[in-house]
Order: sequence, then structure tokens, then C-alpha cells
Amino acid sequence: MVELEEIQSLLIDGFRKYSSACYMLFQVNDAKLAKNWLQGMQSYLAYGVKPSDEWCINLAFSYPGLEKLGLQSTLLSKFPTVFSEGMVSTYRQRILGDIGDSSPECWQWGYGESAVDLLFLVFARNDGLLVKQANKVKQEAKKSGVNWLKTLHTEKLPENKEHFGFRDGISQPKMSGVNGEVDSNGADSKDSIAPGEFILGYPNEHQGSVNRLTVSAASDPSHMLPGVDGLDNAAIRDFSKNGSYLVFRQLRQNVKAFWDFMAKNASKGGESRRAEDYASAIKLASKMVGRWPSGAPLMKFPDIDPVAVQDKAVLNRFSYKHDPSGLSCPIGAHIRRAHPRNAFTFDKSCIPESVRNNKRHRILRRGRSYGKPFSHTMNPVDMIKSREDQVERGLYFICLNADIERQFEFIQQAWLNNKKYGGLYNEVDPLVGKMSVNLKADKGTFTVPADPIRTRYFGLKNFVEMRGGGYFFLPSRAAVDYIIHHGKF
Amino acid sequence: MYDQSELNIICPIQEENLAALRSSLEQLEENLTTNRVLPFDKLNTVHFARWVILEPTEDLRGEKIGPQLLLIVDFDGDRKSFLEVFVGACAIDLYALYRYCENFPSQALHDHSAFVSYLETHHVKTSAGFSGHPRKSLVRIHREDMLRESLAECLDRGMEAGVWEGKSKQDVYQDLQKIIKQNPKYHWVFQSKDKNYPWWRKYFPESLLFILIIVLVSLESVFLFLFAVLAFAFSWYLHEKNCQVPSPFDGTHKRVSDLQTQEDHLSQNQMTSITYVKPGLFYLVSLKIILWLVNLLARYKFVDGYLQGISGIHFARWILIDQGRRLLFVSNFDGSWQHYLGDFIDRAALGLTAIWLHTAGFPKLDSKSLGGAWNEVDFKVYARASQTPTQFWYSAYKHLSVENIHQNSSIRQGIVGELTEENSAWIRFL
Repeated sequence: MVELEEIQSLLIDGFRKYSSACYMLFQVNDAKLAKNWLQGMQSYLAYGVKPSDEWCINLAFSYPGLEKLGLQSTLLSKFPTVFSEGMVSTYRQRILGDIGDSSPECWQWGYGESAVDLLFLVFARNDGLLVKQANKVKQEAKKSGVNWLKTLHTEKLPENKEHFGFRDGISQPKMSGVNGEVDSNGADSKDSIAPGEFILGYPNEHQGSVNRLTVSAASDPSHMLPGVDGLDNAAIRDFSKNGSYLVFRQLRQNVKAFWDFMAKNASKGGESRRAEDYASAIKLASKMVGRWPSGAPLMKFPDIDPVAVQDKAVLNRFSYKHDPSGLSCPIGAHIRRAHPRNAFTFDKSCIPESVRNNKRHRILRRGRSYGKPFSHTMNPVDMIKSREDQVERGLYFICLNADIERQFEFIQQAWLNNKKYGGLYNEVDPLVGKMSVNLKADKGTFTVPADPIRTRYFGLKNFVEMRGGGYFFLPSRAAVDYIIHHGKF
Repeated sequence: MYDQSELNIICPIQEENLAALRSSLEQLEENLTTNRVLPFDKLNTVHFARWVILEPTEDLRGEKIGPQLLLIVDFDGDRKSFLEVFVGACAIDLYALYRYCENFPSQALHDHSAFVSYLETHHVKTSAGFSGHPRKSLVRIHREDMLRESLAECLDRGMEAGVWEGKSKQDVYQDLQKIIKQNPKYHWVFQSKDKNYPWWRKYFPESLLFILIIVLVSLESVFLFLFAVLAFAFSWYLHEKNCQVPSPFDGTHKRVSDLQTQEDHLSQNQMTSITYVKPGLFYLVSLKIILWLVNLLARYKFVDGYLQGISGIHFARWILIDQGRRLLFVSNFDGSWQHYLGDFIDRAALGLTAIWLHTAGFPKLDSKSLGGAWNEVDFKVYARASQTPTQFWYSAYKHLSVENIHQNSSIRQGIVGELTEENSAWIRFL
């Protein structure tokens, strides 16, 4: 059974109940002072299913952070390369698309001088409480051997939408044994995912588990860490158990450019737009997303946005089985790439296989928006009419997974940035995919299949740009204790 | 039209000239994406090619294996005439490499027949091979790609002008066919017919096995057959139990980053993997049998682009080298390494295990969780550790996936044939 009380609460819950949140970035200057401070902070950190109704704080460490806090090199060397190298390397920039306008040189944080060691994730029921909690962290951080770098403030947008105006966060994997639905036969429903895909130390969808990060009993004399295989006095202790990897990417959204493209390509000409021009602009954008602004999937509602449907279960219960050509939902649509469900079926007998394989590339999304909305109504028509306002806005993309390469990076590279996805010829994800620096190479293409003839749209820009980020480790309660106390003896 | 062929040339390198050869290869490999040093493009028959230095090492018994230069080519036509054209076209570049190899005939720069026969004698047979688009020549792949490109542009223009507004699929199809028929550039579309595989080839291994069993039963020796299978399995078990070969790999972080610097520049990638066959005649014979079976399946059953359900492999092959002491695996595939390995594990773990279980360092089988290639974490570590950098790599169609190549063929067949409800899927590939 999953040891819920050991797990940082963010892994279990997206915290919809906290309408306010901010992320605080720190660098470690003095390991000893920093550890003393963290020891005081430990009691504020939230673990388990039921954090307080008022507020909640979680804490994650980057690899340089763990290194600076003095974790032993034998343990550090066991971390996967992807985590120890971090998000910034020539190779990772290439596969993640962090090049051109998105390259680390253009980031606001997370690279070089502004690399992050500690990440505090602070959530609260309202802004007042949030400010209070954030100040508490910041106040106590002074003279504590850490340097406060930045606080990233989030913005709750109406109707759970993101800045382009689409409802977000509808599809979220359920962990069996944690919040997975159990059907009447007692078996886990097919939508739930083995907890080991997100929480380290548990069976995953490969019937195995990600490699443990272990220490010998000698380097854990106060016995803070659990023994491997649940043995209490084991000679080998598991540092990684109940932890997870957290991917953080600040994605700036260019809302004006996004809706300009739709308006320009959907209208039949002329500056004066009519109602049907707005409707076709919204339809084109929805084809790119795979959902209507209300969140309704094109697979279920191919022709018109049924604004009234709000039930998440309804909005998420669909597959691509009956749409191999992408007539309802284009092959290259964002949600069909990011979560293909059963889209990879070279013949009909392989649908279960396709679902099974897909389960090996899921992530728990925990992101929130930032910056004032482009139009306070969140209505695309108003966004098309609005003038550029030079306000920085976007998404703090946060996801949790057990294997960054097999989950987050795979989705980014093999699905979103893959020009050959699902038999396509030369197009990347229209929302978040990285168009080539040299636009001639892929012409910024998006294809909307139709009967008898598809329409190809050219000249898509990068509507989303990277502004900062990093890979973090979200340790268990025991591992946080271990980090704080290690080397003190 | 010739069928696709393979070239696997392995030449021992003069140890004292290894560094010189390496720098010659580096000069060829100045830029992976824009390589223009060798006139492969001009030959118009080469699909993929690579040179790899097999570094000096020891086998599992501790015996020395000297450095070798590996050349792998996938091309159209027969080997002998390909080599003649190849040497004829690039004698100087080839000489710059092969003069550092053992026993290379000094007159070869001018005596091309000596050069050809040197290369030919160093060709090693493929043990098991697969093509994702068998029987498609390079010329055909390029032509069909051009056809698709111009049809797609036709559609773009027509849509822009509103030519087909309110018209049916049939109308569009007839318009397209007319355009192609009128253009002399596309005469070939209607001329040469594609050869199809006879229906039985897909069922070849099954039918072979079926016949074998019928024969055995008719000889009343079915029990003998079963006994042989059981005896084989049992001796496998015994050998595995007693086999204490340590892993020859020490996968380090550095190594993986080295490999990654070569990867994901294109939507295609390559891998070269060298593993060590466990010592003993038993493993060698058993591996040969397995590879023979895999070869049979790959060449006669998986002829429509999917290797056991895995799409995206252009060419792949296993080659036993060094008198069966090492197993080489080379592959050209679409997408990332993670994608490729993931597909392999998801869909073909049995086949992978059957082959690589014969090599040292492969994840142990495990009665609880299967192990072998099913052990995702350890198998990926093993696969990375076995990989060696490829010094030179060439692809003739960097912008095409296996799926694209098949889609382009179906567009061509579609435009030639009648448009029916069942035979109209090709239009969506445009």
C-alpha cells in the first residue's frame, strides 16, 4: 500500500481548493545554516492526503541544491543523468525545443547565475493567507545561509481556463490505490495508473520500478530512511522511496499572436469581421487544441461547442478509436499528441496494447497560470478584438513523474515536437511544439483533415516560449529529514 | 528493378594507424546533417550508410580483439556491381580510409578491381536483417515523395481558389489524376507496376512449421520432436544456471552523453551496438538458430513495414562477428532513442530476449517479473552500455519516416487505380 503520510501532498492532490499559490526560488550559500533553517521549516511542510484547509507548503530540491547541502557523493551519483545534468544541456535543449527565443540565455531564471537550488511551493485558500505564508518563509530565510532569488506569483483565471482561453487540466491520471477509481469488481478501472509511475519505490506500468537511490545503514545511523523492501532493519536504506521528480517550466504565452493567427487564417478576407468569422477562428483554434474553449472534446462534439457541459468525467470519456483520419480531432491536435489514449493502432487488435503503452508515458500535471488575462472575460472574441498590451503572461507548467526521460521528456520529444507524429509529414504541436529556428524547414504547418480535402495552414509561430525552469526532486518526509540531518553527526 | 541489398564490410585496422584513421573519418563527418563529402547522393542507390570504428578490446575469455573498421551500406542492386560503381566514384575518399587497414593492396588507388575484391573478401554475412520498406528502390522512394509533394501543393492551390467547393471525393480524384496524366514528368506513375509479395510469404514461417509438424507426425516421430524441444529448453536452463559471465560493460554517465551528442539532429536516428556472446558452443549454436528464425520472420512475414508491430525501422540487422564471439546490431530508425527502445520493450520483448539473452550483461531472467528485456530499466542500461559511437552516418531521405514512405506508395497506387470507398484512405496522406 502507498504510504500516503510520507508523501508530499502535491503528489496526491492538485490543490484546487487553494485558489492562491506562489513558487519561491532559493539558492544555498551556507549548507549548515541552510539545513538549520530547513529543520525549522520541516514542520510547515505538508504530507499526506489531508493538508490543512488554510494553506500548504511543499519543498523540492534541484541536483545542485542537494550537492550544496552536502549529500554524500555515493548517493548523488545514483541519481539518473537526466536529473544530475538538469534541463540545460545542448542535447536537452535540442530535444525539448529550448532553442532560439526559448534558449536558456533568454530565461528569467534557472540558468547560470540564476540556477535554483530550492523550490518552495506555497498554496493558500486566499491571497491574504498566501502572502502571510510566503512572508514567513522569506523572513525566516534571511540570515539562514540561503539567498532568495525570486517569487513566482500565480493567477487564477476564471472557469479553470488557461490564457489562450481554453479550459485546462481536465485529463489527469489517477493513481491506483491512491485516488484511482475502483470498479464494482474491485479491480482498478482501466484509467488508473500504477503509483510507481509517479511515486518512487512502487510498481510501475512495466511491472518493475525505477531504480532506487539507496544508502548503506552506516550512513543512516539514526535510521531515518526506510529499509528496502519494507524491512525495518535492512542494511540498505531507500532514500528515494515516496519521492518524485518535479519538472518546472515557465512558459510565456503570446495570446495576441495566437488569436491573430486564427483570425487571419479563418476569415475569408477583409478587415471587418462578422460573427461567422469569429466562429471559424474559434473553430480553427479548437482544432489545434482538440477541445473547445469550454473544454468539450472535439471527439464528442465535432461541430459545435456545447458550452453547458461541465462534468469533467463527460469531458474526459472519449477515445480516438473511431477517428483514425482525424476528421473530428486532427492527428496533430495538442491533446491528441500529449495524451494519445488509443491513437496508435496499426490494426484493430492492438487497441489494448496502445492503451497499455500510453500508460507508460503519463504525467501528473500541477501547473498554474500567471499574469493578468488578456481579456478579463476570457472570451476568444474579446481576445481577437483586444490590442497587444505587452503584459507577461503564461503558464507555470509543473509535472510530476518517476522517470523524467520516459515520461515528461518522452511526451515533449516523441509526441509534441515530433514532426512525424502519427504519420504526419512535417508539423509539430501547434500550441507548444517548437517550430524550427529556420521556418523554411517546417513552414509552421498545421493540417486540419476534412472530407474530401484537408486544409493546410502555414506560418504558425511559436505561441509559447520558455522563460525559465529546472528539474527538481520532491523527497519524502523521511528523505527531507535525511537531507537536513545528514552530515551533522 | 533490383531488390535491396546489404554490405557489411569489416576490415582490421593497423593498430599504429588507428588515430590517423580516426581523424580521416572525422573529416568525413564534419557535419552529420549536411554531409556532402562522399558522393553517395550521386550514386542514387544508397539508402543508408555508416562507418564505425570497432575499438580494440578483449573478448570474454580475455583474448585480444584488434581495432576494425566497419562499413554498413543499404543499397539497391547486387553487391559486386555496387562495389564497382562505389569504388569507381569515390576511390580517393575510400583510399584515404582503407590504406590504414591490414593487408590493403597498395596499388588499389589505381587498380579498382583490386580495391573491389579487397572489400568483397571482407564482407560478412548478415545473420538476421529487416527492412521497413522492402523492395522499394531509392529512386522509387524519391519519386513517390516528389509525387506526393506536388499533389499536396495542387490541393493547397485548389483549396485557396475554391476549385473544389461543394465537390465530391470522386471529382477531386479525377482532377488530380488528370493533372498527373498531363504532366510528362509523371509518366512513370502509370508505367511501372510495383511488385507485390505473393500472399503466402506472410504465412511463410507458420506454413513451414506446419509442414514440419505434419512430416514429423506422419513419421510418427512427433514425440521425438517434442523431446528435442524439451531437451533444448532444459539444457538452456542448465547453461543459464551455471553461466557466471560478468557484464563486460560499465555504463557511465559520460558514455551516454557522448552518444546523445550525435542524436536527434534529424527525425531519424541510428544505433550501433556490440555485445559479447557468452562462451561455449551451446550458446553460439542456439544463437544461430534464433537468428535464423528471426531472419525468416523479418524477411518473409514482416514485409509491410512493421517489425512485430514496431513501425519506424528503416533498416536493422544482426551480424555475428569475430568468429561468433561478438554480436553486432545496427539500425536506422525514426524518432528518439527512448521512443525506439520503448517500442521494442512494449512490443517485441520476447524476440529481444531470445536474441540478447545469449550475450553477457543482459538482464537476468526472473520468474517473478520476467526480467530480460521486460526489465525496462536494466535493459535500457544494457542497451546504452552496448552502444558505440558511429563516426560517419548517411541517410538518403532524412525528411521521410517509414510511415511516410508507405503512405507515399499508397498515394501513387491510389492515383493509378480506381477510387472506391475502401480504396480512398490515401487521399488523407496528401
